[in-house]
Amino acid sequence: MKPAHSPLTGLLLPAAGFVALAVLPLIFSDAFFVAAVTLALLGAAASLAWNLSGGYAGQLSLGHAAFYGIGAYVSTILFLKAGISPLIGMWLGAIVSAALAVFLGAITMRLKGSFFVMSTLAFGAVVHISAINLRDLTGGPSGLAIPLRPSPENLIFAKKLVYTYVALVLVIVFYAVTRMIAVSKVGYALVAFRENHQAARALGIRTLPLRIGVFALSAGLISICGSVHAQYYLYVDPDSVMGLNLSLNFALMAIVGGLGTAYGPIVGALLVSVVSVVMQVYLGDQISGLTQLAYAAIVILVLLAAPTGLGPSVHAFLKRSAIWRS
Amino acid sequence: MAVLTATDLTKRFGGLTAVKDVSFTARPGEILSIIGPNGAGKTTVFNLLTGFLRPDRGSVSLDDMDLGGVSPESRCRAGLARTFQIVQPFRGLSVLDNVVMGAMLRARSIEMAREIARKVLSDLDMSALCDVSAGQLPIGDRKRLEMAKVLATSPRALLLDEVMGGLIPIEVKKMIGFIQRLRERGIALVVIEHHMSAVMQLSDRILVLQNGEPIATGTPAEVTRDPVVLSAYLGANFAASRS
Repeated sequence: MKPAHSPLTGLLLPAAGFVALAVLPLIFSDAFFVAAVTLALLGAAASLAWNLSGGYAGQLSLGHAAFYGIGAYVSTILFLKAGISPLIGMWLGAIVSAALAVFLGAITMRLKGSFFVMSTLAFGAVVHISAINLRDLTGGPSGLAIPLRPSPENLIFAKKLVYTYVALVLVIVFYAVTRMIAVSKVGYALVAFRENHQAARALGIRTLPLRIGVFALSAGLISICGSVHAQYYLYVDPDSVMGLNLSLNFALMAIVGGLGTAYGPIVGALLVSVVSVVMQVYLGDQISGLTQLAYAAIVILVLLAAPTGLGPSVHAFLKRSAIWRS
Repeated sequence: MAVLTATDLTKRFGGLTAVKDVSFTARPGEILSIIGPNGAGKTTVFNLLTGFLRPDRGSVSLDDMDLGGVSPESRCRAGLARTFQIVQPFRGLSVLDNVVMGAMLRARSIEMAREIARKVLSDLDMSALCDVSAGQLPIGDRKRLEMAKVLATSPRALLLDEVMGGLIPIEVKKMIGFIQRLRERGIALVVIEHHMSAVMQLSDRILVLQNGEPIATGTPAEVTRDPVVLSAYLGANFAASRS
């Protein structure tokens, strides 16, 4: 944790990065590219939300797809059955997710390490299976389709490029939230718990309410990503918004980019997305399964080369080479 | 008026009685040392005082507040802090951030906490180490960092668990001076220490434990003349030859 940022890494570099992300889809306006960037950004936003609890507080969750899915379903069901705008529905979804997270956290946050991970895994599975079986509400395995009625109020746009910027706004807001928490007493207390919980307790740091709070915030924010996901695809089904691989991806992007850093999930999401798109383009029509295999191999290689995540490893490398040069 | 009072503390681990009927008081500006051979139950007493372990019998109170069932973090908030014999730094963080973690307790913002932390580090001659990663410190500096972290919580009663262990003589001398300054500030100090010359220099009173039981208590001069203590430390024959 480096709270005292230089102006370059603190403000200019992220700002330049966000401007680049905003301009790129305008230059390369190819539909495939725009779709890839949109999904990468949505993934980055979700991973940023995951990282608040999974990275800063060190509470590795493999159940966050449940909150993502709840966001997707709540806004969609309210829109289809009650005509409530997803702009309102996404907040209601976030509240439902956050409330569930408080409930889950109050029960499971006393568990440590792998026991906590297992409990989140079980929670994700329970919610996933519930979505499949509550047919009247969720449409069961075949899911729910949202009619294409473009209007900002419906959060439905004919031009897919608009979603790119919706996702980018989420990324910027979540990044800012992360940075604000990181330099606050709450952020410090979470890091203290992550680094050494016994030492944290001996210093009078009361972490349980904070950990539950940040878990709820994380769940609420990722739930909003789920609502946007539903409006982008105009379709939700249990596997695509609640599947285990989604939870794994949220964690993976943050871990690849740099766990417990504000920029890590963004770097990770972009990298993972680029790799997966390139693999699909070049290997997609070859032997089936080759895409996933190559993707997995690349992720393993990245983690072997940069065990603390790409961002921190590059940072450490630059620092070393600067010392070496001087 | 005692700050910290322990009454009849007893802790059993299965068939082993680790601590039995230990009572003492710690007063502001006074240093009480707990000594005894390895395995005498000294660190267990600290764990009972700070709430990391629950006593089977007996009680701990800070001022007039009974601490029964109070969590370690709440005890620290109330002003009872400790160091760990096996130091517990936040390895991945800088020395300054380590101390900020302690200073947060009495600070409204991180900036304020950082100010307190800088002050504590300068008191301990550690200002030059602010940006060093805690995991890279040699043992002597880690012991001082352990002190800095808890001091930043502004305790009224402070338990020091072998802060001299692993220090070279010049560092021991500095640490003794530092602990004496803490006493002058009116902090009630309870010290576990194996470094006997430090114990003799610092202590106002000494409590001697053997197999979990108090066998003697008194001033350094009284305790070193006590035949029971001599026999515990040096064997019954030695004690007999002196009397």
